Amino acid sequence: MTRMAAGAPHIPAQTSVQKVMAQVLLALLPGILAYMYYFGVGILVQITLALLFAYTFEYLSLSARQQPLRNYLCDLSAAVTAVLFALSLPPLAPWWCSLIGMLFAIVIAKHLFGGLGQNRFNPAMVGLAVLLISFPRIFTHWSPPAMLVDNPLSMLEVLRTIFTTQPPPGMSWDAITQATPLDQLRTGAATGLLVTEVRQGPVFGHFGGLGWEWIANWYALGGLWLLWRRVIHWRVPVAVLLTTFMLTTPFYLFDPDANPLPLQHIFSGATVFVAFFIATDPVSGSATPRGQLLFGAGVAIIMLAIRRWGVYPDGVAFAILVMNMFAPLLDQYTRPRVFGHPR
Amino acid sequence: MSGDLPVMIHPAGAYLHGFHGGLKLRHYKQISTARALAQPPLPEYLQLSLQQHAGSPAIAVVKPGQHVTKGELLARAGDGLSAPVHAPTSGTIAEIQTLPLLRKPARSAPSIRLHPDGEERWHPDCERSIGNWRDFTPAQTMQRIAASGIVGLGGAVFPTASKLSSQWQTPAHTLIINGAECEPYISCDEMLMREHASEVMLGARIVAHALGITEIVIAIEDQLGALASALETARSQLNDEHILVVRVPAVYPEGGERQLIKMLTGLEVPSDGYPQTLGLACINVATAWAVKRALLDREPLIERVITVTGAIAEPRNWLCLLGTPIQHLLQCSGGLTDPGARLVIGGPVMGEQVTDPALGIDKGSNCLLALAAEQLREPQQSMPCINCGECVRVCPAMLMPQLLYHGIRKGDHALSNRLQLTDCIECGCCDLVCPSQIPLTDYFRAGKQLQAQQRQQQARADKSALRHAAREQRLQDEAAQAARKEAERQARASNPDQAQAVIGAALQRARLRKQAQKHNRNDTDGDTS
Amino acid sequence: MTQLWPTLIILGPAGLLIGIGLSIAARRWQDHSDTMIERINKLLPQTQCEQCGHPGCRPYARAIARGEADINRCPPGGDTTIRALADLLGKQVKALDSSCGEHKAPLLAVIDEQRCIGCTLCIQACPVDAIAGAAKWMHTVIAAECTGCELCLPPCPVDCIDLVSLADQPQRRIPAHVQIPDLAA
Ligand code: SF4
Ligand code: SF4
Ligand code: SF4
Ligand code: SF4
Ligand code: SF4
Repeated sequence: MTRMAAGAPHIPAQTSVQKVMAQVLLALLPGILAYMYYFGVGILVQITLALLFAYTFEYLSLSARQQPLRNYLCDLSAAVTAVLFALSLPPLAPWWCSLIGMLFAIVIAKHLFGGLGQNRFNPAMVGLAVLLISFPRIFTHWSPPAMLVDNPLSMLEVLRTIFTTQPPPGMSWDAITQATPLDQLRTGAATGLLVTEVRQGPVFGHFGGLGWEWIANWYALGGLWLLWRRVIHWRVPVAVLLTTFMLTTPFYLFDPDANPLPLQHIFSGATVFVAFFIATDPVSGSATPRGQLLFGAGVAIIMLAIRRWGVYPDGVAFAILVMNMFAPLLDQYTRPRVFGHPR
Repeated sequence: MSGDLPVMIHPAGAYLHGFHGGLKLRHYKQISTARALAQPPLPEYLQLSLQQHAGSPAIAVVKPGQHVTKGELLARAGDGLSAPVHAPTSGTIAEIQTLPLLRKPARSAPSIRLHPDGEERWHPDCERSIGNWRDFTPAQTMQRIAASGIVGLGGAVFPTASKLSSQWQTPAHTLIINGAECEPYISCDEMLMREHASEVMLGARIVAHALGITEIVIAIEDQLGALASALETARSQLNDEHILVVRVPAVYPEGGERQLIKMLTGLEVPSDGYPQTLGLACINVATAWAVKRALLDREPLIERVITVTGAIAEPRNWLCLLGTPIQHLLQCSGGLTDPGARLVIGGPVMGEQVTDPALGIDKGSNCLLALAAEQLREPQQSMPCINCGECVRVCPAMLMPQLLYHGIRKGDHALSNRLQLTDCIECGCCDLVCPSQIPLTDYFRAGKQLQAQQRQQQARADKSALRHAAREQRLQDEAAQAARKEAERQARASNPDQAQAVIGAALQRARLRKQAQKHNRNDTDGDTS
Repeated sequence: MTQLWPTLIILGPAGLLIGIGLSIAARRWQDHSDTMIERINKLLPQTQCEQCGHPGCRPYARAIARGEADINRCPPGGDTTIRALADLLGKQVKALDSSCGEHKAPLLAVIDEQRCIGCTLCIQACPVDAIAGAAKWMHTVIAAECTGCELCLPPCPVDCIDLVSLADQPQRRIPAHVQIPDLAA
């Protein structure tokens, strides 16, 4: 009777990596649908491509590292990376964007660092940053929101655009794409236009970018659901959003002509998306309560700094990567006081 | 007097403090509370371990073949921290052998097998009057508690008298009776309070009296509404306005002493301290009941309430003799409903797997749980940690379990030391929320054990190093001395004249010294005369 | 090209100087110091068994500090000690040198007092003075001080010394799925 006694607890955890990832994907659904509604079916193609490449690379990396395929291919973490990445691409971006992005995300950022849970940087953002640096032009070709397009591209035209990397015959890039609201603000500012004047432009909605503001709402809905499910916790999103708001408000109040509305910052670009889905990535973030607040605030500060002074219109990817570097430090210095020990 | 006390416990229904982390778990207590408390038939044998308490094993005072009566001393307390063991019923000692402990199967201790004779004849000591407890001095009460073999029946099995008599850094002011049974399935304290509420309160009063205090707080979980009213009734019967029944929200692991105290008072028992450090005494409901029976009924601790539940045909609470074999309890409860079930002694979160159902229950066995095969976890399937921080969020000790896990896995004892591994209470909360299903608590137990081993080894090594150095020094000195002597001897041998001179000089010195002494003596003689 | 000469003239000797300085420093601080020996010694198990080929742990520590001995020669310490040494000295972890002996669980010597003839030979062999006794009297091992080095075994003329396992009772068994480096050792 010298059986190895199994240690307590004897009951299993009610959660798993797979369940967590599945819920994240589910929470993204409203945002994706809204995205499709406002910017066409291109995003679906991008997601499909990214998933395809992600799982190809995941399979190859796992095999090369001789990891148990069944467990790891089912954990859905590659799917989350792929979808988050695809949602950050312009809907009509060429097909090889996903190839390059996923190569860097899955193979380099994830598996070279040791696979699931070991990556120091958010894989999706690594993929995105590589593209941003190497092919910045791609990110100027965003589709205009549906309300501004008389006859949207058909599925076939979208596919052709993505795979031939050329606009459909008889059309030019300018005809089917448009600078993003953030881009326009930046170029507007560069040419000396007042923000209020730029905001007269057609791509602006009530307080954010046209279409963008609604997508942001749907993302927020998914994010709130995740909060309610306790998959993510309030600290990171609140820190990101609150910091964004609090940093932009004084600028706006001080000089509303030169600085966009605080809500504009939140509802255009990827702020909400980042707050709920990107900055909340556990692996590359901080795990302590105070660390998470600082992490979120840091992301917001760097993002705004890049928007204001950097060469890139939206600095989310870089903001996340920079804060990823600090995450272990944050964990170390924001360690909670242990029960029964003096402060 | 309570004005200047550092602790305030608010009246029932008023403000409670809460503690960091913890989990709301499904209770499953109704499974075993449907049937009334009962006594199982006498088993064929009782298996009484002499290590049913924290500290050193008890020392047997009976021999195989000897007949003993109910309540008779079988083993006296060992050295240091320890507790005696008494015969739960009358019968014959069959044998004394070394067996694994029920709740710590890696360790073993002597164990007495007793064959009951079915007569249940009490030992005369248990029938002799001992007088009124109100007339006892605190020391007398404590002595009585110790002699009755009473230990913390919540599971810690720390000898109660030792606990109540030491570490009082703050004058005692409140006695907390811990009835917050937070682990799922376990309902033995609840049943005990339902059936013997006033006896529990009497026990509490006895302890409070011995501590020289009056304030008593009974903490129960707020889901047990019926129980609260039973306690209220008992309280009004006793007519003691110093007894307070507090219902605390059911958050695992608030049955832990430190968590409960934090919940009630907002104070944290220091990591290296005890409740007594804060002027609080905290004992389990069943312990209070045992105290009452020891001092009013003159019965040593020979039985306890144990919940038999889970995948069991007739789950219920038994008032059960210590040493009753697990298999006997199972039989009396109708057997397992799932042959693949795992037997656990204690709850599903902190319990220990039963390795041998022939062993008898001990003083700390509050529950025998059969977990059906499909309820069990398989820790082999764990994934890498994804740093989600869930474990940090739920850890009642406010540790960073994921970092501890990394440290222990790397064998980095310095890191796990810095992260206060020793403060882990092994509650298992982190396991239950880990999406990667890492057996964290297993790692922490292993890490603690290795750390302790390492500390011990280091102490041994340090001592050996010193002894080795001392020996080297001694050998060196001896060699040096031998060399010197040898050199001198050779010098003498090679130069006889000088040797003579040296001897002469030595003799001369001796003569002079003698003279001087004589002189001195004469002087002093002169002084005194 | 003419630009290059001044640079070379200045940087060349400077580089040379720095190089010499560094190598002197390296030699100088190649830690022979007592503190280094102490730190190494602290990591050794202090069994004093001499299986490493040195008369005790401290001499072995000194040899390691001087770079005269490899770090994998201590059988009682086993992998744990090798890892700790590698850590301290920034060296590669390697397997125990089997020519020194095999790693064993800690042991304790016990003298069969019936058979002991009181020859005191074991006392002279014991590196930590863990044996008590006098000539012609039976000898006994002080359990708390014995390191289990086995050095007292060979000299005993009547073979009355035995080794028993010193393993303390573990608090708990560690489940198989727990993988910790110390456990492998
Ligand atoms: S809960 Fe598990 S996966 Fe999450 S941080 Fe803790 S150990 Fe890692
Ligand atoms: S088992 Fe230890 S580390 Fe885990 S939650 Fe409980 S106290 Fe914290
Ligand atoms: S082999 Fe023996 S003497 Fe040498 S270092 Fe190891 S324990 Fe010390
Ligand atoms: S008694 Fe023997 S085994 Fe123990 S330390 Fe001395 S010589 Fe070594
Ligand atoms: S060497 Fe053997 S016989 Fe001699 S004293 Fe030691 S134990 Fe006794």
